[in-house]
Amino acid sequence: MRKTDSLQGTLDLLVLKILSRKPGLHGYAIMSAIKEHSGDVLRADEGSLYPALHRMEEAGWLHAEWLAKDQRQRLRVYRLTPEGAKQLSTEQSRWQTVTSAVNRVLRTV
Amino acid sequence: MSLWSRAINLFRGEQVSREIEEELATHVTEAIAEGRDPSEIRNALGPALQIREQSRDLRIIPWLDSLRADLIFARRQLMKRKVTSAACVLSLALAIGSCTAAFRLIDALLLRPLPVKNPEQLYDLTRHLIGFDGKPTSYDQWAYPSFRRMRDAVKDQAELIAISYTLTVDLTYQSNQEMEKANLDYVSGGMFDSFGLRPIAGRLLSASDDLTPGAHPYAVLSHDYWSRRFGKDPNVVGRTLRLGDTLYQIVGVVQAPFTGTSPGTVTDIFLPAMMSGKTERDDQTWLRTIARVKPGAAIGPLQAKLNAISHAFEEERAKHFVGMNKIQTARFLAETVTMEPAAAGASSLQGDYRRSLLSLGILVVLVLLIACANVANLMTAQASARAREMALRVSIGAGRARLVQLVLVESGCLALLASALGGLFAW
Repeated sequence: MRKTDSLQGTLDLLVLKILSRKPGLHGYAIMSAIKEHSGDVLRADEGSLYPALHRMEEAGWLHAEWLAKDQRQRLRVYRLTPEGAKQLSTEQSRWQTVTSAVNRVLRTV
Repeated sequence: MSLWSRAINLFRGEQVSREIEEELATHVTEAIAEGRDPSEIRNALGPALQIREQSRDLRIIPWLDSLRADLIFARRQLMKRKVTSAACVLSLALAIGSCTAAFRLIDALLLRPLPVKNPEQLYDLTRHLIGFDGKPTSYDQWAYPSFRRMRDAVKDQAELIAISYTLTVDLTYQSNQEMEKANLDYVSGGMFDSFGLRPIAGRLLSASDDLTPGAHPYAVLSHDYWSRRFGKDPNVVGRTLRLGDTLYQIVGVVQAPFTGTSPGTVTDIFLPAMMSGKTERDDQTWLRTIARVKPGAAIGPLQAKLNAISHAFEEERAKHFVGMNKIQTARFLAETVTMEPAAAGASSLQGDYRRSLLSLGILVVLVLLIACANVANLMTAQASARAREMALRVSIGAGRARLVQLVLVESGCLALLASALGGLFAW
Protein backbone atom coordinates (compact mmCIF):
# COMPACT_ATOMS: atom_id res chain seq x y z
CA MET A 1 0.00 0.00 0.00
CA ARG A 2 1.28 3.44 -0.82
CA LYS A 3 1.45 5.71 2.17
CA THR A 4 0.87 9.00 0.44
CA ASP A 5 -2.66 9.75 1.64
CA SER A 6 -1.82 11.39 4.97
CA LEU A 7 1.05 13.27 3.42
CA GLN A 8 -0.78 14.81 0.51
CA GLY A 9 0.23 18.45 0.35
CA THR A 10 2.32 18.37 3.48
CA LEU A 11 5.52 16.98 2.01
CA ASP A 12 6.89 20.45 1.33
CA LEU A 13 6.14 21.53 4.88
CA LEU A 14 7.84 18.49 6.38
CA VAL A 15 10.91 18.77 4.20
CA LEU A 16 11.31 22.48 4.94
CA LYS A 17 10.86 21.91 8.67
CA ILE A 18 13.37 19.08 8.79
CA LEU A 19 15.93 21.09 6.85
CA SER A 20 15.43 24.13 9.07
CA ARG A 21 16.44 22.00 12.05
CA LYS A 22 19.12 19.94 10.36
CA PRO A 23 20.62 21.67 7.38
CA GLY A 24 22.77 19.65 4.99
CA LEU A 25 20.77 16.44 4.73
CA HIS A 26 20.56 14.39 1.57
CA GLY A 27 17.41 12.83 0.10
CA TYR A 28 17.53 9.52 1.94
CA ALA A 29 18.34 11.20 5.26
CA ILE A 30 15.40 13.56 4.85
CA MET A 31 13.13 10.59 4.26
CA SER A 32 14.50 8.79 7.32
CA ALA A 33 14.13 11.92 9.43
CA ILE A 34 10.46 12.26 8.49
CA LYS A 35 9.91 8.64 9.44
CA GLU A 36 11.80 8.92 12.71
CA HIS A 37 10.34 12.20 13.98
CA SER A 38 6.81 11.13 13.20
CA GLY A 39 7.25 8.00 15.26
CA ASP A 40 7.12 5.84 12.17
CA VAL A 41 3.65 7.09 11.27
CA LEU A 42 4.48 9.32 8.33
CA ARG A 43 6.39 8.08 5.33
CA ALA A 44 7.51 10.26 2.51
CA ASP A 45 6.72 8.66 -0.80
CA GLU A 46 10.11 8.07 -2.33
CA GLY A 47 8.74 8.60 -5.83
CA SER A 48 7.59 12.12 -5.08
CA LEU A 49 10.42 13.16 -2.73
CA TYR A 50 13.02 13.88 -5.40
CA PRO A 51 10.75 15.76 -7.79
CA ALA A 52 9.61 17.80 -4.75
CA LEU A 53 13.19 18.56 -3.74
CA HIS A 54 14.08 19.62 -7.26
CA ARG A 55 10.94 21.70 -7.53
CA MET A 56 11.72 23.54 -4.27
CA GLU A 57 15.28 24.05 -5.38
CA GLU A 58 13.98 25.57 -8.60
CA ALA A 59 11.64 27.82 -6.59
CA GLY A 60 14.67 29.08 -4.66
CA TRP A 61 13.63 27.69 -1.26
CA LEU A 62 16.45 25.17 -1.12
CA HIS A 63 20.08 25.27 -2.04
CA ALA A 64 21.76 22.07 -3.11
CA GLU A 65 25.41 21.12 -3.24
CA TRP A 66 27.49 18.03 -3.70
CA LEU A 67 29.31 16.69 -0.68
CA ALA A 68 31.90 13.90 -0.88
CA LYS A 69 30.92 11.07 1.38
CA ASP A 70 33.96 8.93 0.64
CA GLN A 71 36.25 8.27 -2.32
CA ARG A 72 33.59 6.75 -4.51
CA GLN A 73 30.39 8.36 -3.42
CA ARG A 74 29.13 11.87 -3.09
CA LEU A 75 25.86 13.12 -1.72
CA ARG A 76 23.61 15.89 -2.91
CA VAL A 77 22.76 17.75 0.30
CA TYR A 78 20.13 20.42 0.71
CA ARG A 79 19.85 23.43 2.99
CA LEU A 80 17.26 26.14 3.47
CA THR A 81 17.63 29.55 1.80
CA PRO A 82 16.23 32.69 3.49
CA GLU A 83 13.33 32.45 1.07
CA GLY A 84 12.79 28.86 2.13
CA ALA A 85 12.62 29.97 5.77
CA LYS A 86 9.93 32.47 4.85
CA GLN A 87 8.03 29.80 2.95
CA LEU A 88 8.28 27.48 5.97
CA SER A 89 6.58 29.97 8.28
CA THR A 90 3.77 30.56 5.73
CA GLU A 91 3.19 26.85 5.30
CA GLN A 92 3.34 26.32 9.04
CA SER A 93 0.71 28.92 9.82
CA ARG A 94 -1.48 27.56 7.05
CA TRP A 95 -1.17 24.10 8.51
CA GLN A 96 -2.14 25.46 11.94
CA THR A 97 -5.23 27.13 10.51
CA VAL A 98 -6.33 24.03 8.69
CA THR A 99 -5.80 21.64 11.58
CA SER A 100 -7.44 23.90 14.13
CA ALA A 101 -10.41 24.30 11.78
CA VAL A 102 -10.66 20.53 11.40
CA ASN A 103 -10.40 20.12 15.18
CA ARG A 104 -13.16 22.63 15.72
CA VAL A 105 -15.40 20.71 13.35
CA LEU A 106 -14.61 17.47 15.13
CA ARG A 107 -15.41 19.00 18.53
CA THR A 108 -18.60 20.81 17.68
CA VAL A 109 -20.43 18.49 15.34
CA MET B 1 17.62 28.42 -9.95
CA SER B 2 18.09 31.46 -12.09
CA LEU B 3 17.22 31.67 -15.77
CA TRP B 4 20.91 32.08 -16.48
CA SER B 5 22.01 28.89 -14.77
CA ARG B 6 19.14 27.10 -16.46
CA ALA B 7 20.37 28.36 -19.80
CA ILE B 8 23.90 27.23 -18.87
CA ASN B 9 22.57 23.80 -17.90
CA LEU B 10 21.24 23.56 -21.42
CA PHE B 11 24.74 23.01 -22.67
CA ARG B 12 25.55 20.46 -20.03
CA GLY B 13 22.30 18.52 -20.36
CA GLU B 14 24.16 15.23 -20.15
CA GLN B 15 25.68 16.22 -16.86
CA VAL B 16 22.32 17.32 -15.44
CA SER B 17 20.88 13.92 -16.30
CA ARG B 18 23.87 12.18 -14.78
CA GLU B 19 23.60 14.13 -11.52
CA ILE B 20 19.95 13.21 -11.13
CA GLU B 21 20.84 9.59 -11.87
CA GLU B 22 23.58 9.69 -9.28
CA GLU B 23 21.31 11.15 -6.62
CA LEU B 24 18.77 8.37 -7.15
CA ALA B 25 21.52 5.75 -7.16
CA THR B 26 22.72 6.95 -3.74
CA HIS B 27 19.19 6.59 -2.48
CA VAL B 28 18.99 2.99 -3.67
CA THR B 29 22.39 2.14 -2.17
CA GLU B 30 21.43 3.46 1.24
CA ALA B 31 18.09 1.70 1.16
CA ILE B 32 19.80 -1.59 0.35
CA ALA B 33 22.24 -0.97 3.20
CA GLU B 34 19.20 -0.77 5.49
CA GLY B 35 18.27 -4.21 4.30
CA ARG B 36 15.42 -3.39 1.93
CA ASP B 37 14.69 -5.37 -1.18
CA PRO B 38 16.16 -3.73 -4.33
CA SER B 39 13.09 -4.34 -6.51
CA GLU B 40 10.81 -2.97 -3.79
CA ILE B 41 12.88 0.23 -3.66
CA ARG B 42 12.71 0.64 -7.41
CA ASN B 43 8.95 0.28 -7.25
CA ALA B 44 8.74 2.83 -4.48
CA LEU B 45 10.91 5.29 -6.38
CA GLY B 46 8.63 4.97 -9.39
CA PRO B 47 9.72 5.17 -12.98
CA ALA B 48 13.23 6.59 -12.80
CA LEU B 49 13.01 7.96 -16.31
CA GLN B 50 9.96 10.02 -15.42
CA ILE B 51 11.63 11.54 -12.34
CA ARG B 52 14.64 12.29 -14.43
CA GLU B 53 12.62 13.99 -17.13
CA GLN B 54 10.62 16.04 -14.61
CA SER B 55 13.66 17.15 -12.66
CA ARG B 56 15.60 17.79 -15.80
CA ASP B 57 12.89 20.04 -17.18
CA LEU B 58 13.06 22.01 -13.93
CA ARG B 59 16.73 22.63 -14.26
CA ILE B 60 16.78 23.63 -17.89
CA ILE B 61 14.45 25.65 -20.10
CA PRO B 62 12.45 23.05 -22.01
CA TRP B 63 11.62 25.18 -25.07
CA LEU B 64 15.21 26.33 -25.36
CA ASP B 65 16.33 22.75 -25.05
CA SER B 66 14.05 21.65 -27.86
CA LEU B 67 15.27 24.56 -29.95
CA ARG B 68 18.84 23.46 -29.37
CA ALA B 69 17.98 19.91 -30.35
CA ASP B 70 16.25 21.20 -33.50
CA LEU B 71 19.25 23.34 -34.42
CA ILE B 72 21.57 20.37 -34.15
CA PHE B 73 19.16 18.24 -36.15
CA ALA B 74 18.73 20.97 -38.78
CA ARG B 75 22.48 21.16 -39.24
CA ARG B 76 22.62 17.42 -39.70
CA GLN B 77 19.80 17.56 -42.23
CA LEU B 78 21.50 20.30 -44.22
CA MET B 79 24.80 18.45 -44.23
CA LYS B 80 23.10 15.22 -45.25
CA ARG B 81 21.61 16.77 -48.39
CA LYS B 82 24.59 18.89 -49.34
CA VAL B 83 23.66 19.45 -52.98
CA THR B 84 20.06 20.44 -52.35
CA SER B 85 21.01 22.69 -49.45
CA ALA B 86 23.76 24.34 -51.44
CA ALA B 87 21.38 24.92 -54.35
CA CYS B 88 18.80 26.47 -52.00
CA VAL B 89 21.30 28.68 -50.23
CA LEU B 90 23.00 29.75 -53.42
CA SER B 91 19.85 30.68 -55.34
CA LEU B 92 18.42 32.54 -52.36
CA ALA B 93 21.72 34.26 -51.72
CA LEU B 94 22.03 35.42 -55.30
CA ALA B 95 18.50 36.82 -55.27
CA ILE B 96 18.93 38.48 -51.88
CA GLY B 97 22.29 39.85 -52.97
CA SER B 98 20.91 41.40 -56.15
CA CYS B 99 17.96 42.88 -54.23
CA THR B 100 20.29 44.39 -51.67
CA ALA B 101 22.62 45.77 -54.32
CA ALA B 102 19.70 47.28 -56.25
CA PHE B 103 18.30 48.80 -53.10
CA ARG B 104 21.66 50.27 -52.18
CA LEU B 105 21.79 51.95 -55.57
CA ILE B 106 18.22 53.25 -55.32
CA ASP B 107 18.83 54.41 -51.77
CA ALA B 108 22.03 56.23 -52.66
CA LEU B 109 20.54 58.03 -55.63
CA LEU B 110 16.91 58.58 -54.75
CA LEU B 111 16.13 58.02 -51.10
CA ARG B 112 18.98 58.91 -48.78
CA PRO B 113 18.49 62.40 -47.36
CA LEU B 114 21.28 64.93 -47.86
CA PRO B 115 23.62 65.17 -44.85
CA VAL B 116 22.35 68.64 -43.97
CA LYS B 117 20.10 70.20 -41.37
CA ASN B 118 16.35 69.52 -41.91
CA PRO B 119 16.63 68.15 -45.47
CA GLU B 120 12.84 67.75 -45.65
CA GLN B 121 12.52 71.54 -45.96
CA LEU B 122 14.43 71.59 -49.24
CA TYR B 123 12.77 71.97 -52.64
CA ASP B 124 14.24 72.12 -56.11
CA LEU B 125 12.69 74.81 -58.32
CA THR B 126 11.75 73.04 -61.53
CA ARG B 127 10.47 74.59 -64.77
CA HIS B 128 7.96 72.82 -67.00
CA LEU B 129 7.26 73.83 -70.59
CA ILE B 130 6.51 72.56 -74.08
CA GLY B 131 9.88 72.14 -75.72
CA PHE B 132 10.94 73.13 -79.23
CA ASP B 133 10.00 69.66 -80.39
CA GLY B 134 6.45 70.09 -79.12
CA LYS B 135 6.78 67.64 -76.24
CA PRO B 136 6.43 68.55 -72.59
CA THR B 137 9.74 68.74 -70.85
CA SER B 138 11.16 69.98 -67.58
CA TYR B 139 14.50 71.24 -66.36
CA ASP B 140 15.89 72.98 -63.30
CA GLN B 141 18.46 75.44 -64.69
CA TRP B 142 18.25 79.10 -63.83
CA ALA B 143 20.02 82.33 -64.73
CA TYR B 144 21.53 84.23 -61.84
CA PRO B 145 19.54 87.49 -62.28
CA SER B 146 16.32 85.48 -62.28
CA PHE B 147 17.46 83.66 -59.16
CA ARG B 148 18.31 86.95 -57.47
CA ARG B 149 14.88 88.38 -58.14
CA MET B 150 13.11 85.32 -56.77
CA ARG B 151 15.39 85.18 -53.75
CA ASP B 152 14.69 88.79 -52.81
CA ALA B 153 10.93 88.45 -53.39
CA VAL B 154 10.31 85.39 -51.20
CA LYS B 155 12.91 85.89 -48.49
CA ASP B 156 10.23 85.99 -45.79
CA GLN B 157 8.83 82.57 -46.65
CA ALA B 158 11.88 80.73 -47.93
CA GLU B 159 15.59 80.94 -48.30
CA LEU B 160 16.74 80.45 -51.88
CA ILE B 161 20.15 78.96 -52.52
CA ALA B 162 21.95 78.88 -55.85
CA ILE B 163 24.12 75.86 -56.54
CA SER B 164 25.70 75.52 -59.95
CA TYR B 165 25.71 72.38 -62.01
CA THR B 166 28.93 70.62 -61.11
CA LEU B 167 31.76 71.55 -63.48
CA THR B 168 34.89 69.55 -64.05
CA VAL B 169 37.67 72.11 -64.33
CA ASP B 170 41.43 72.25 -64.77
CA LEU B 171 43.23 73.96 -61.94
CA THR B 172 46.64 73.98 -60.36
CA TYR B 173 48.14 74.36 -56.91
CA GLN B 174 51.61 75.14 -58.31
CA SER B 175 52.61 75.92 -61.86
CA ASN B 176 50.87 75.62 -65.20
CA GLN B 177 52.79 72.41 -65.84
CA GLU B 178 50.88 70.69 -63.06
CA MET B 179 47.28 71.10 -64.01
CA GLU B 180 44.78 68.71 -62.51
CA LYS B 181 41.05 68.05 -62.71
CA ALA B 182 38.57 68.74 -59.97
CA ASN B 183 34.80 68.94 -59.58
CA LEU B 184 33.64 72.42 -58.81
CA ASP B 185 30.39 73.96 -57.54
CA TYR B 186 29.65 77.67 -57.47
CA VAL B 187 27.33 78.18 -54.51
CA SER B 188 25.53 80.99 -52.73
CA GLY B 189 27.60 82.22 -49.82
CA GLY B 190 24.76 81.47 -47.44
CA MET B 191 24.51 77.81 -48.40
CA PHE B 192 26.75 76.41 -45.66
CA ASP B 193 24.93 78.33 -42.94
CA SER B 194 21.56 77.34 -44.25
CA PHE B 195 22.57 73.67 -44.41
CA GLY B 196 23.92 73.82 -40.87
CA LEU B 197 27.36 72.61 -41.96
CA ARG B 198 30.50 73.14 -39.88
CA PRO B 199 34.13 73.49 -40.92
CA ILE B 200 36.66 70.76 -40.09
CA ALA B 201 39.45 73.23 -40.62
CA GLY B 202 39.51 76.97 -41.27
CA ARG B 203 36.16 78.58 -42.06
CA LEU B 204 33.36 78.18 -44.57
CA LEU B 205 31.92 80.68 -47.00
CA SER B 206 29.31 83.06 -45.64
CA ALA B 207 26.83 85.49 -47.18
CA SER B 208 29.46 88.24 -47.03
CA ASP B 209 31.70 86.19 -49.34
CA ASP B 210 29.12 86.47 -52.09
CA LEU B 211 28.34 90.16 -52.62
CA THR B 212 30.37 91.64 -55.49
CA PRO B 213 31.17 89.84 -58.75
CA GLY B 214 34.80 88.77 -58.88
CA ALA B 215 35.73 90.15 -55.45
CA HIS B 216 35.77 87.01 -53.30
CA PRO B 217 38.54 84.63 -54.38
CA TYR B 218 37.96 82.08 -51.61
CA ALA B 219 37.57 78.33 -51.89
CA VAL B 220 36.24 75.65 -49.54
CA LEU B 221 37.20 72.00 -50.00
CA SER B 222 35.03 68.99 -49.34
CA HIS B 223 36.27 66.57 -46.71
CA ASP B 224 36.42 63.80 -49.28
CA TYR B 225 38.71 65.83 -51.57
CA TRP B 226 40.79 67.06 -48.66
CA SER B 227 41.55 63.47 -47.60
CA ARG B 228 42.02 62.23 -51.15
CA ARG B 229 44.18 65.03 -52.52
CA PHE B 230 45.92 66.41 -49.43
CA GLY B 231 45.89 63.51 -46.96
CA LYS B 232 44.00 65.64 -44.43
CA ASP B 233 46.87 68.12 -44.18
CA PRO B 234 45.67 70.96 -41.93
CA ASN B 235 48.21 73.33 -43.50
CA VAL B 236 46.22 73.33 -46.70
CA VAL B 237 44.15 76.19 -45.31
CA GLY B 238 45.77 79.38 -46.60
CA ARG B 239 47.24 77.82 -49.71
CA THR B 240 46.19 79.08 -53.11
CA LEU B 241 44.89 77.42 -56.21
CA ARG B 242 44.75 78.88 -59.66
CA LEU B 243 41.72 78.47 -61.86
CA GLY B 244 41.88 80.26 -65.20
CA ASP B 245 43.48 83.60 -64.40
CA THR B 246 42.23 83.88 -60.84
CA LEU B 247 44.09 82.87 -57.70
CA TYR B 248 41.82 81.51 -55.01
CA GLN B 249 42.72 81.18 -51.37
CA ILE B 250 41.62 77.98 -49.63
CA VAL B 251 39.86 79.18 -46.48
CA GLY B 252 38.56 75.93 -45.05
CA VAL B 253 37.26 72.37 -45.28
CA VAL B 254 33.63 71.44 -44.84
CA GLN B 255 32.70 68.51 -42.60
CA ALA B 256 32.11 65.00 -43.97
CA PRO B 257 30.07 63.53 -45.53
CA PHE B 258 28.77 66.57 -47.41
CA THR B 259 29.95 66.53 -51.03
CA GLY B 260 27.42 68.74 -52.76
CA THR B 261 23.72 68.38 -53.38
CA SER B 262 23.75 66.14 -56.47
CA PRO B 263 23.82 62.44 -55.62
CA GLY B 264 26.10 60.71 -58.07
CA THR B 265 28.61 63.55 -58.30
CA VAL B 266 31.21 64.29 -55.68
CA THR B 267 32.04 67.95 -55.42
CA ASP B 268 35.65 68.74 -54.53
CA ILE B 269 35.72 72.52 -54.32
CA PHE B 270 33.07 75.11 -53.50
CA LEU B 271 33.48 78.68 -54.77
CA PRO B 272 31.21 81.70 -54.22
CA ALA B 273 28.63 82.14 -56.99
CA MET B 274 29.92 85.69 -57.48
CA MET B 275 33.18 84.26 -58.84
CA SER B 276 31.47 82.44 -61.69
CA GLY B 277 31.62 85.45 -64.01
CA LYS B 278 28.07 84.75 -65.12
CA THR B 279 26.10 86.44 -62.38
CA GLU B 280 24.97 89.32 -64.59
CA ARG B 281 24.14 87.21 -67.65
CA ASP B 282 20.40 86.76 -68.01
CA ASP B 283 20.80 84.46 -71.01
CA GLN B 284 22.88 81.79 -69.30
CA THR B 285 21.15 79.23 -67.16
CA TRP B 286 23.78 77.48 -65.10
CA LEU B 287 22.50 76.97 -61.59
CA ARG B 288 19.91 75.08 -59.61
CA THR B 289 17.73 77.00 -57.23
CA ILE B 290 17.21 75.11 -53.99
CA ALA B 291 14.60 76.57 -51.65
CA ARG B 292 14.63 76.02 -47.93
CA VAL B 293 11.03 76.69 -46.98
CA LYS B 294 10.63 78.24 -43.56
CA PRO B 295 8.49 76.29 -41.09
CA GLY B 296 4.84 77.28 -41.44
CA ALA B 297 5.13 78.74 -44.94
CA ALA B 298 2.66 77.22 -47.41
CA ILE B 299 4.04 75.73 -50.62
CA GLY B 300 1.10 76.67 -52.88
CA PRO B 301 1.23 80.47 -52.58
CA LEU B 302 5.02 80.40 -52.62
CA GLN B 303 5.02 78.45 -55.84
CA ALA B 304 2.54 80.87 -57.41
CA LYS B 305 4.69 83.82 -56.40
CA LEU B 306 7.86 82.28 -57.82
CA ASN B 307 5.97 81.42 -60.98
CA ALA B 308 4.87 85.06 -61.42
CA ILE B 309 8.37 86.44 -60.86
CA SER B 310 9.99 83.99 -63.21
CA HIS B 311 7.33 84.69 -65.79
CA ALA B 312 7.87 88.47 -65.57
CA PHE B 313 11.61 87.96 -65.92
CA GLU B 314 11.32 85.79 -69.00
CA GLU B 315 8.76 88.10 -70.58
CA GLU B 316 11.13 91.03 -70.27
CA ARG B 317 13.86 88.95 -71.81
CA ALA B 318 11.67 87.68 -74.63
CA LYS B 319 11.30 91.21 -75.97
CA HIS B 320 14.85 90.99 -77.25
CA PHE B 321 14.57 87.52 -78.75
CA VAL B 322 15.59 87.25 -82.36
CA GLY B 323 14.89 84.32 -84.62
CA MET B 324 12.10 82.69 -82.59
CA ASN B 325 8.66 82.48 -84.12
CA LYS B 326 5.48 83.34 -82.28
CA ILE B 327 4.53 79.80 -81.36
CA GLN B 328 7.96 79.11 -79.88
CA THR B 329 7.90 82.34 -77.89
CA ALA B 330 4.38 81.62 -76.63
CA ARG B 331 5.43 78.11 -75.57
CA PHE B 332 8.50 79.53 -73.93
CA LEU B 333 6.46 82.02 -71.95
CA ALA B 334 3.85 79.42 -70.95
CA GLU B 335 6.48 77.88 -68.70
CA THR B 336 5.40 77.02 -65.15
CA VAL B 337 7.51 76.66 -62.05
CA THR B 338 6.97 73.93 -59.46
CA MET B 339 8.79 73.10 -56.25
CA GLU B 340 9.89 69.47 -56.18
CA PRO B 341 10.89 67.98 -52.83
CA ALA B 342 14.67 67.71 -52.76
CA ALA B 343 15.39 66.06 -49.40
CA ALA B 344 17.55 63.56 -51.31
CA GLY B 345 19.22 66.32 -53.28
CA ALA B 346 18.74 67.27 -56.92
CA SER B 347 20.65 65.60 -59.68
CA SER B 348 20.16 65.00 -63.37
CA LEU B 349 21.02 61.35 -62.66
CA GLN B 350 17.86 61.14 -60.59
CA GLY B 351 15.72 62.33 -63.48
CA ASP B 352 17.46 60.13 -66.02
CA TYR B 353 17.50 56.95 -64.00
CA ARG B 354 14.41 57.13 -61.77
CA ARG B 355 12.36 55.00 -64.16
CA SER B 356 15.10 52.53 -65.01
CA LEU B 357 16.04 52.08 -61.37
CA LEU B 358 12.40 51.43 -60.57
CA SER B 359 12.22 48.75 -63.25
CA LEU B 360 15.48 47.32 -61.98
CA GLY B 361 13.97 47.16 -58.50
CA ILE B 362 10.85 45.36 -59.74
CA LEU B 363 13.03 43.00 -61.74
CA VAL B 364 15.21 41.94 -58.83
CA VAL B 365 12.16 41.49 -56.62
CA LEU B 366 10.77 39.15 -59.28
CA VAL B 367 14.08 37.30 -59.30
CA LEU B 368 13.81 36.94 -55.54
CA LEU B 369 10.28 35.57 -55.91
CA ILE B 370 11.47 33.05 -58.48
CA ALA B 371 14.30 31.99 -56.17
CA CYS B 372 11.79 31.60 -53.32
CA ALA B 373 9.53 29.48 -55.50
CA ASN B 374 12.52 27.39 -56.49
CA VAL B 375 13.53 26.81 -52.88
CA ALA B 376 9.92 26.07 -51.92
CA ASN B 377 9.86 23.48 -54.67
CA LEU B 378 13.00 21.79 -53.41
CA MET B 379 11.71 21.82 -49.85
CA THR B 380 8.37 20.32 -50.88
CA ALA B 381 10.18 17.51 -52.66
CA GLN B 382 12.12 16.88 -49.45
CA ALA B 383 8.98 16.99 -47.36
CA SER B 384 7.34 14.15 -49.27
CA ALA B 385 10.51 12.13 -48.88
CA ARG B 386 10.38 12.78 -45.13
CA ALA B 387 6.75 11.76 -44.65
CA ARG B 388 7.79 8.53 -42.90
CA GLU B 389 10.10 10.39 -40.54
CA MET B 390 7.31 12.78 -39.60
CA ALA B 391 4.87 9.91 -39.06
CA LEU B 392 7.39 8.29 -36.74
CA ARG B 393 7.80 11.53 -34.80
CA VAL B 394 4.03 11.86 -34.38
CA SER B 395 3.74 8.25 -33.22
CA ILE B 396 6.31 8.76 -30.46
CA GLY B 397 4.48 11.79 -29.19
CA ALA B 398 5.58 14.89 -31.08
CA GLY B 399 2.80 17.45 -31.31
CA ARG B 400 1.88 19.45 -34.36
CA ALA B 401 3.55 22.56 -32.96
CA ARG B 402 6.73 20.61 -32.29
CA LEU B 403 6.89 19.40 -35.90
CA VAL B 404 6.24 22.91 -37.20
CA GLN B 405 9.05 24.18 -34.99
CA LEU B 406 11.39 21.53 -36.36
CA VAL B 407 10.70 22.48 -39.96
CA LEU B 408 10.81 26.19 -39.20
CA VAL B 409 14.19 25.89 -37.52
CA GLU B 410 15.51 24.06 -40.57
CA SER B 411 14.17 26.69 -42.94
CA GLY B 412 15.45 29.42 -40.63
CA CYS B 413 18.97 27.99 -40.78
CA LEU B 414 18.74 27.92 -44.56
CA ALA B 415 17.46 31.50 -44.69
CA LEU B 416 20.15 32.72 -42.31
CA LEU B 417 22.92 31.16 -44.35
CA ALA B 418 21.44 32.58 -47.55
CA SER B 419 21.09 36.08 -46.07
CA ALA B 420 24.67 36.09 -44.84
CA LEU B 421 25.94 34.97 -48.21
CA GLY B 422 23.61 37.40 -50.01
CA GLY B 423 24.91 40.27 -47.92
CA LEU B 424 28.40 39.26 -48.91
CA PHE B 425 27.43 39.22 -52.60
CA ALA B 426 25.88 42.66 -52.37
CA TRP B 427 28.90 44.08 -50.62
